[in-house]
Amino acid sequence: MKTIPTRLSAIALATAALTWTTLIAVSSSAQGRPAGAFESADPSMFKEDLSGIPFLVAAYSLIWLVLLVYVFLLRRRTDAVVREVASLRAQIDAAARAQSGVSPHADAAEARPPHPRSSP
Amino acid sequence: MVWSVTGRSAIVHRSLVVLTTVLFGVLLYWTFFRAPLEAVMGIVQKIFYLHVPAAIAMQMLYVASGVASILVLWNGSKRADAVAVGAAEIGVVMSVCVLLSGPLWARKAWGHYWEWEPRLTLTLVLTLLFMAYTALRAFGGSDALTRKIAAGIAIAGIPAIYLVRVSVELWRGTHPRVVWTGGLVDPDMRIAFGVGIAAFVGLAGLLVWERIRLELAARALDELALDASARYDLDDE
Repeated sequence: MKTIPTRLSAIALATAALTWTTLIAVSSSAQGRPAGAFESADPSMFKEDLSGIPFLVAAYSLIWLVLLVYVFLLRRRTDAVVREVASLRAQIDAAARAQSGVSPHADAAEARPPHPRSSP
Repeated sequence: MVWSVTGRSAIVHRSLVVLTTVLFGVLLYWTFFRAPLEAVMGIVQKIFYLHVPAAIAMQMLYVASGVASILVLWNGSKRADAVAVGAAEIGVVMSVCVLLSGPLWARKAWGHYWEWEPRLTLTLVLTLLFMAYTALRAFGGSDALTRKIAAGIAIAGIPAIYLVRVSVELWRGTHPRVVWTGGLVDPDMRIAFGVGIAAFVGLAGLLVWERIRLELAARALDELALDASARYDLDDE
């Protein structure tokens, strides 16, 4: 169960994140044009200049690749934990049966459901 | 089961997944179909709409990891420790995105991939700092001393984040300054940028959520295994 400080921390963090995001958005739209400001251009200017496209494609591809690889690795680690839980559960069941005097292997063989392909 | 999201959390989780997906769709649409080409750099400036939001998400995650580490040192909270680990790891992922996309932009804008400019150098140092933290947590065991040393590293990152923020002004770096100075002139540029921040913050939140759950589940599993070993004669597998 979540404690009140945990909830308060979560709310405080969310509020801080929202405030920060708003501040950045507001400040990026402030009046005046500083040196180096990003200004829009006439698209016809760039009809001949395609030299930036490979860099753009590479940047977008690499970012998506990094994120996808991380999600894949996270998924693999989660699967490993799930397998460990199943293994530990099986070991505890077997040990509990062994302590109560019944052979865990015989019991496990009885308890195991028939393989789908072996059923008539 | 520890890894399944249930109840009200499931609704929040699914909502966040849907919202983040929609935001990324809107971001791509706005970046490529609405935001105009920039007058000096042309199409390569569109890297900005992924690069800077990833950098902002990175900074938020490192701050979260540092703050959670303060809590770890203060009261030894296990939840705060899981938050620190999760935020640091996802922060490193965001850093990698920033450090890969930045040089590609720089190659076109500056003529070379890397420059030992204050903000770039500090971002690299910050990334290495949190990589060290993540490596320590992954391979340094789970005893109290390791947790405290790692927490110290994460806390040391907080002033470094501030320095990354002010480095361009402080040491006259050549890194573009448009975010805090009103440098996005076109409204569509500002919308794409705002949506980008929201999308990356949403994605970072989701990934941290998953990573914290994994961390807590792994720790619960370790405790359960220890407890079961004390009660039963288990195999060492």
